[in-house]
Amino acid sequence: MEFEDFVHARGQALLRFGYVLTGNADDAADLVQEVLIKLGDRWSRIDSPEAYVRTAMARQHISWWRKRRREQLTDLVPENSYTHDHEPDDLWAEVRGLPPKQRAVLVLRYYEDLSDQEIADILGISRGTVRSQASRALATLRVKPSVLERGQV
Amino acid sequence: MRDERELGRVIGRGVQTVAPPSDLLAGVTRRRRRRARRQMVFTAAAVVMVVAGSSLAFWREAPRVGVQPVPSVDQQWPEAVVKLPVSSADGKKYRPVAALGATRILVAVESGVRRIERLEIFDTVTRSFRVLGTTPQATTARFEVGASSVAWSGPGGELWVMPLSGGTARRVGTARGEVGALSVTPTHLVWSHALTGVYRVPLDGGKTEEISDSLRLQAWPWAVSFVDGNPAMLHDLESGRRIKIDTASSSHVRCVPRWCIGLRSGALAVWRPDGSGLRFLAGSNKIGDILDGRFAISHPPRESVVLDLESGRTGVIRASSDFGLGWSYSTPTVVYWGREAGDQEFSLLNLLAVR
Repeated sequence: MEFEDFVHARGQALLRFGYVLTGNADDAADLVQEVLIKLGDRWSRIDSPEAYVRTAMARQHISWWRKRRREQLTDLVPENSYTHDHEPDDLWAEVRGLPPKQRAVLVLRYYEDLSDQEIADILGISRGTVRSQASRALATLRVKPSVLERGQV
Repeated sequence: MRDERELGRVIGRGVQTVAPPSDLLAGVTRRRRRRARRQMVFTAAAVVMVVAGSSLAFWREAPRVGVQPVPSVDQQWPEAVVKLPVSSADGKKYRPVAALGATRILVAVESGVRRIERLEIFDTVTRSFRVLGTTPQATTARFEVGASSVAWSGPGGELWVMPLSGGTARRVGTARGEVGALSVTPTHLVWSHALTGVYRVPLDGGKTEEISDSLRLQAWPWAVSFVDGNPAMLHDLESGRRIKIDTASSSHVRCVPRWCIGLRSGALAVWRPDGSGLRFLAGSNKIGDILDGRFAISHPPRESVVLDLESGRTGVIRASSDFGLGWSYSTPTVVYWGREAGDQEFSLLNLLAVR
């Protein structure tokens, strides 16, 4: 498959994935473009472009967020106030309002159906951190966890 | 307290209903030029994405518009609001797909997060379900109803059809990847991916052919062309007729053949593609859509307002829990809401039943 074919076939799916990661369409488009540009440079050396792109997007997303946080420390909003601008029943709006790492964990868990270990590998964090991030996100969203950890019987 | 299944559905639905901004092409082009100037070696062209035609236009920061006292949809269109059971006899969740008429609703049966097991038809008069058939490779992706068959695509672009009279699903071809727009004609399946390019394959199977490389399917026979990433013209692929889209002073525009919806002066508005018939929707809206080619709807988080563009009648849906539109590729014909944890039934507005 050529790079252009991949972009053609998977562009919309990647934009959706980017949207759930970032919570807004502009950042999603930036994220997808950034990663696809890198992918284009390395196309001939990558066996699984889909996995590469999604992993790169999740990491890039968190990296951008960390950078912005450093640059905008004074603008930081406390995490526990994220849901205050939304109606209590609008779960989607609340998901969009989660801190980036928590949102990334939820997306990878519930949209990508990945195990906690796979999520840990993608995000470059420990499995324990995946669990704690997921747990905090579920608490914020008032979602009752039905399983403690994905990927374990 | 919510459960994980609800969260999975919300994330999946949120993702499926997102349309990235219409100026994406311009953004990519700008970045490519910047990068080309910085890095002479980079030649990865064709990162050109024109994405439109998801079922929703999405935006933030829309100002609140004064809410007029309007009747509920139950009061305005009592003949069209019905209650459906939340789950099937075997304990699986129903997801409304589309209305097949004034008294029949096509529903998908979920067998897990992002898995659709089968299709059923709900008769709103007898309040009974009839199984249509099992749906191989159907995820929470949408379905599309034609005159005599229903179609869907699998995650790898596999194209399936099933007779509306029921029976076995049949695979008729394979698209090049995820399908973003799908129509069923009497003879063909027609589709587009995320980008421009319209393709078709005979319903009996056969060779896939490209009908257009510059347009993106809207709903057969209509397709859209873009200029700088914005919808510019509606094209009738059968007759060759064209309708120029008036997008003056507006953003996030989506058009179906007879109506466009988008932001005008920061407020949710609908107008004819030629610019006439401009109307603003009451309510505080971030999202809007055209339903059944005739109604406009503004979406929660707060109240959702449904406006009949032909009669001018308006109804409001005040419950915002588990609000959703029918899972069809073309303009939705049902709206559902009010599925709370523990409830046995939820409400559905069937736009084909509105008199």
